[in-house]
Amino acid sequence: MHELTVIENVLQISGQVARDNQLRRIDVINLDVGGMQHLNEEIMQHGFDAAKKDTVASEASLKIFWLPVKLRCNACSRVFGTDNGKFHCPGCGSKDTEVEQGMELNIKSIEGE
Amino acid sequence: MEIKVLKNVLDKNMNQAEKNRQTLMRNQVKMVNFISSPGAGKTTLLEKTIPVLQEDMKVGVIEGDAYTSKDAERLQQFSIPIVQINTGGTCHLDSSSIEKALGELVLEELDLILVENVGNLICPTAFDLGEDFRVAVLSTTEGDDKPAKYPMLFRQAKAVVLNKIDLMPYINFDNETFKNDLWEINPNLQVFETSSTDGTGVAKWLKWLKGALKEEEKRV
Repeated sequence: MHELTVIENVLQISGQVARDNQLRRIDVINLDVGGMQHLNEEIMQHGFDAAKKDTVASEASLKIFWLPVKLRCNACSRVFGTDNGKFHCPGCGSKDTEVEQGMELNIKSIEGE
Repeated sequence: MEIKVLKNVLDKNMNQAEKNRQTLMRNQVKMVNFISSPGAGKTTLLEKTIPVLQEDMKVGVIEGDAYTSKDAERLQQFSIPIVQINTGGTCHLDSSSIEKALGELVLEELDLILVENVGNLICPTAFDLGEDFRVAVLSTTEGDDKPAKYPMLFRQAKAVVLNKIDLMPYINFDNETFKNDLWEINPNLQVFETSSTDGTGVAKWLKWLKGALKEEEKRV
């Protein structure tokens, strides 16, 4: 539901990078989004299409790379995925685990001329 | 031409959150961020929490709502500084609105700020405000299946208050499953079962909160 705030920030940061690198237009914005961020692709794309008008990204496409949630067990170092709210290690059962991937919300790169 | 950026989209919010943290630390003020869905009972919980905390410390409130100042008005009875932020439809508070609110409070005269975030379990989770810790408030009427649906919130929270336990006899709420699901996501979560209206469980919650705030003091 905060997709619009995210999009506004994406455009602001991308616009600054374009200016810093003398790009006349942005063609693609590559975004990494982790699975634990509650963001919806469709809403992101709709929001992007609306907000990009009259900006250096007006013709750009937004490519979202959805990163699956990965946890690391601090007891046995196993790395495992989860999509059902189970955060304990399936190997040794330890609950001492860390989120290794899944919280990302990063602009990876922008492409343009 | 491809230009590597590798920047967090919410960098600006994070930077301001850190500045808020520094401001609060300089003035020795703690800040707790209450996150819940609308109607879980955040304001009622604060009505029970504030008078007890006031015995030992000077409390202020930052109240976040899309519209109206109804919740702030309810808390005026405690004669504490309250700043109302109306987001005008935005589903969360962010660190820049907290910065403005901190500017409206006399921080030298406060020990603790309680932030009542906009009623929403998803959006506020993504926005660091500069708080010391987060408390999630859920109510039994929302169902016992919520933990797995909001892992980021429960992973980051220090405590969960499960409110409206007086209604448990009338609904299908599996308390054991609920707590086990929470501890699956975050084994360190403190869980408090309360009825903010009749007072059940509130003393235990308050005892923990006071202790947690003292611990935060020692950390600094």
